[in-house]
Amino acid sequence: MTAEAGSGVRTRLEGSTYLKPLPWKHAVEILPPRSVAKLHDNTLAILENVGVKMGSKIWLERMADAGAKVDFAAERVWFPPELVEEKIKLAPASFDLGARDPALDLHIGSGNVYLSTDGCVPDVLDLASGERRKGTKHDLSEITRLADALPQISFHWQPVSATDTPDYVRPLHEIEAQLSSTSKHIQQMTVVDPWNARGMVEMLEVVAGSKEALRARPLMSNFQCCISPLSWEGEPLEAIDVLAQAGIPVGICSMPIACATAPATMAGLMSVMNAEILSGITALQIAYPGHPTWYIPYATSMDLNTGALNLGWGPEELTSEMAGAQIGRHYGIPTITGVFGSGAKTANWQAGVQNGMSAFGKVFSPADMVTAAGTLVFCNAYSMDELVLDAEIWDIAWTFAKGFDFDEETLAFDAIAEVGPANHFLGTQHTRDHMLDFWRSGIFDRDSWEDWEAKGKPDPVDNARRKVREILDTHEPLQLEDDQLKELSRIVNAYQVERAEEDD
Amino acid sequence: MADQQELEQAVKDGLMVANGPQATEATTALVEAGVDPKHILEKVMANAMMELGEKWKRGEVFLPEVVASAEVFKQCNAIVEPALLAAGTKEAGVRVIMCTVKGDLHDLGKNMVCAMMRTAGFEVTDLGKDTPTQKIIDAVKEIQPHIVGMSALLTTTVGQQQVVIKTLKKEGLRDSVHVMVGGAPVTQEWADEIKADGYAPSAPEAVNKAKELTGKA
Amino acid sequence: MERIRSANFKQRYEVASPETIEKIHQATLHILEHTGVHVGSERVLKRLADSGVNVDFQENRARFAPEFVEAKLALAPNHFLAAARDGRCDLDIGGGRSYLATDGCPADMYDLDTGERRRTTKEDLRKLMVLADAMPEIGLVWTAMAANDVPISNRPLHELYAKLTGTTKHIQQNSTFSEHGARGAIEMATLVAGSAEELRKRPLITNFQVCLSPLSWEEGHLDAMTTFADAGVPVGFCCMDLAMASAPASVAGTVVLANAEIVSGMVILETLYPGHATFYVAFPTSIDARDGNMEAGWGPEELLMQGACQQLARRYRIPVTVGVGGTGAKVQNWQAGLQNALSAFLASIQPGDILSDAGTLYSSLIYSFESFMLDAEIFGLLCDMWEGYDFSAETAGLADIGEVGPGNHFLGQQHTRDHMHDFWMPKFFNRVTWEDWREKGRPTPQDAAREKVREILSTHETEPLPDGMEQELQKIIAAYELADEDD
Repeated sequence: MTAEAGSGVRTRLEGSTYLKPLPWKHAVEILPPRSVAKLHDNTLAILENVGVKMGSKIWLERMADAGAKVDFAAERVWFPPELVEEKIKLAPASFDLGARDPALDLHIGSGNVYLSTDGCVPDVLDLASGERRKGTKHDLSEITRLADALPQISFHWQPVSATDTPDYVRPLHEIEAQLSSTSKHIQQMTVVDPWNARGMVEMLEVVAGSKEALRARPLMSNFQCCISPLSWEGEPLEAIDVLAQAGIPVGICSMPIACATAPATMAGLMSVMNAEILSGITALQIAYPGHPTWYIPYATSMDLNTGALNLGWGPEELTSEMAGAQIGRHYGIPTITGVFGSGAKTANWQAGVQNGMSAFGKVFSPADMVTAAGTLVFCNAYSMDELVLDAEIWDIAWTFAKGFDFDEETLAFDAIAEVGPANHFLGTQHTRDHMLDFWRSGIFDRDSWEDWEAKGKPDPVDNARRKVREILDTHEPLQLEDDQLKELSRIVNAYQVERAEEDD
Repeated sequence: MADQQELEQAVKDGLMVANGPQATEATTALVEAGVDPKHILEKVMANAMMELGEKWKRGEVFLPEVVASAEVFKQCNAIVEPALLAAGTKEAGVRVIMCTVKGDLHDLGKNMVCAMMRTAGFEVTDLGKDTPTQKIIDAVKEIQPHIVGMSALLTTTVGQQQVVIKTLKKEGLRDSVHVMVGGAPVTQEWADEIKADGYAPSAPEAVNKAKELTGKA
Repeated sequence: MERIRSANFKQRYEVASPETIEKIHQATLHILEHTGVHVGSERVLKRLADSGVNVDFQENRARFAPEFVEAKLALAPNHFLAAARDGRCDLDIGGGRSYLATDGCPADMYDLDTGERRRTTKEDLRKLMVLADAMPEIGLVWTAMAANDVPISNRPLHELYAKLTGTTKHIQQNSTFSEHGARGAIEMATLVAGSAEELRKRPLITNFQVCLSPLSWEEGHLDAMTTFADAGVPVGFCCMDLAMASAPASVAGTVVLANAEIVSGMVILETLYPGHATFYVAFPTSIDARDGNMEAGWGPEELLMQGACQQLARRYRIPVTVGVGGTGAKVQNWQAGLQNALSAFLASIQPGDILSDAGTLYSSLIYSFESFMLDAEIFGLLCDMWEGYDFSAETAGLADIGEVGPGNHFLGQQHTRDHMHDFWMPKFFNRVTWEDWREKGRPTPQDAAREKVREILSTHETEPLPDGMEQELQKIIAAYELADEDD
């Protein structure tokens, strides 16, 4: 099935059977080469002289065996530059991330930019009331199901936390909710400890069919985050052990905040970030040479007045996203960067500006995966309306990135000559043949002023909301077998009971 | 000769897909065969355009297709009209005169309105662009339209709409027509100010307004 | 404080390959040679014929041979001076920096106090000029909105007066489409410049003429062109092709047609005035296929057209105005932010020498002072972004990183205090916490923009014209008022 021009020409709700990743085109290198070089030098200097903390004895031992300088008591590792440069080269330049529907597998490193929903957003904006509240397991299922129907979304994170489940086993509830709500790839980011990692692997083996099947086509991936600045906790590292041994690809992430957990300059921010990621990738490749991984640079800044994340973000955020992708490309390591995530509190002008620019930054500086669609207040509130709006922006970017054809047919020589000066093209055959090639929005306000006023001045959000309801009313994701569902539920329960008993 | 039904279908089909040769050939054949030209115009041609209008409403055809069909309609009309005049048949349809005002050469909006009007069964005479006031007055006297529609794209030409309305009044013709205005700088406020009878911001809405003004369902 | 903030957009992105641009150029030559353009002015037609152009007097058509076109285009200078009443605001158009212009030219605006949509007046225009005068993001001004409350016959002159008194920045006298209007504008500009020679040396006004797509130059536009050119005023050429309506239903076809139109205008100018300063102004867009609405026809195609036209102008090494913004949204909502931001973003990596944007809604049918501010915010953001960042070890604060160490924080560091204000600070993006925002009544960016508008209007004073000049200008304006022919 070919992707249709525009998101709103003839709406079909038969579920997403194709994806719309952005194609990689000529990239705008936002950092000049000398800056990239300096950044790399700064990074190696940090890793060699400052090092990182690692809260796991096994991992410290591995680092020592590989030639890093280790202080076991202080849980500190310093990496010689040669070790870093040697190990990061082992990261594969391409690999696949599997989906329950193989047609929706992601081919990382193939020159496509895949979009995801956001993850771990504390609150959700209630679809009915618009009020902000905590997310639930049901919200997670619904949002995942909605995203399943949008071809602009290529994979999932965990949009909201299932706060109505016990926190110690929450990731497994989230896996259960998502696996039955989508046939696309799921990147499971809330598993950050080895115990939940084991549960995750068990559940995936049920769906894949066997350990070997899972290893051959991993249906989920994961990533672990450094705590800025420069600190790897033990549990995340040990989670990597469980997942890597099962064949689950694991990305390495850094989320420093300028002025708070990183210096107050772009250079300092990105140097710390790069050091954290390279330390993780180096460590991962020491422990599991050749294991699929990706570079996840999420550098952002603090609002000087509130101390919270900077909602009024602008040039630095955009630069950070584009530069992060550039650096990943420079190292030849697959990369995720941030996209969307406006700090606006409603889907207003500010949201349009921030999200629009961020999305097009992915056209101009592509990565392999980008996250994340669907939030407001800078990833603090999840909104289904916003997901549809972000998908609309993505659709514009996708169509723009395709470029335009220049051939005899599109050139319309004959039409131009035939029509001639001061006439018009409205009814020509050429116009009728090609008018539907033009992208048409399903979301933009296209009414005349008078109609719009008569309707009570509706907002594009109203059109987005309509589309959300349509999808939720009709979309059925790929179902799991009954016995699979039962087994998943059994595993979740078993883990929940096990840990509950321990706490008693 | 193919039978009448086949020819009428050919006219209809030709109009629906804007196949000029097919439609005009079949129209010519019908006229030459002596079929009542009023029947051809109203039951065949106008009906086809109205069906097209319904398709537009359902989103099955788009504006450029409507415009193309309207062009073919004009061609068929040119064949039927002489027969109509010869038969002395007075047209019972709702007549509309459209133009772009003096000093203004922009006619895209007008063209779209003309096309959409035809799909609603209106009989449209298009005076063209840069239309001097006198030409409009002469046409009103000759055709006795129900509606006079004027388009203007520039803030510097839109004033001509007021001039025409004043002139219609002076000539004692104002009360015999409904005046509609449109174009980028035109708003309901402007229409009210110059005492036009109707304003529409788009071609489809112009049709609705025209129907409202003439009491046509 | 700098009066004008220009951008140094160094990136060179290309939506179309060099091969495609070449093909478009060749197709343009073909059209100009075989179809040609309609030339509505007998005088200009004759002058063209006298210059060896293939002219058809019956049809008012001029056709240009390819070599002729290439030769004339080569005569156009690749940069020129756009002078300003305040010399600090002189602009070197084509000199490598990008300037933001106010957009134009709606007949309605949103009233600042009531929020209602209403007709614009001369005073509204003057007020907008004051805003433009105060905001460094604005490099030059257009006739941003129509002065509906003055007679049509000398309206452009009233508008010029509003601009001359409202700002000391460069003025693009764009809505002058007749010889009559052009003469009046030149008289006024000459008065302010001091003499005809001064105006020629330092053109305080520039102009551009708009093609009637497809391929048609109206009499008034051409006569205005010659009048301005005679006085040494740079004249640009503009087109506003509507794909599916006044241009073919394809990006390629529309770009070819637009290019042919603009090039034809420049060729006519350079034939009659070799070496005259000119610029390329392309605003192609499309209609909505369902309703025919122009306001609804915005999409990725518009961005591709924008980019391709910019590349063509660069190929010809002629200064270019890139149409930025022009959202079809009716208020400053998500759609408006999105459309204008995307257009501006592309224009920052496929830069125009002038970015024409700032202030309109509903496809330039409604002006909004709030939008003016918001569009300026976008431009400021992009200027900052593309200035780049220093990556030296000192700026990176390597020493601090070592001092702070893993697991600690940077909040209290001197380095943090030294650099924290380097980060961009928005004027209108909302940054407060959710609770704060709710408490304050959920303010919007446009609310913040409105506050700024009021602040500037109540405090900013434009440098006045020399004593007595205002009255002199008004005399000129009055002299150009014609009796209404239809009364």
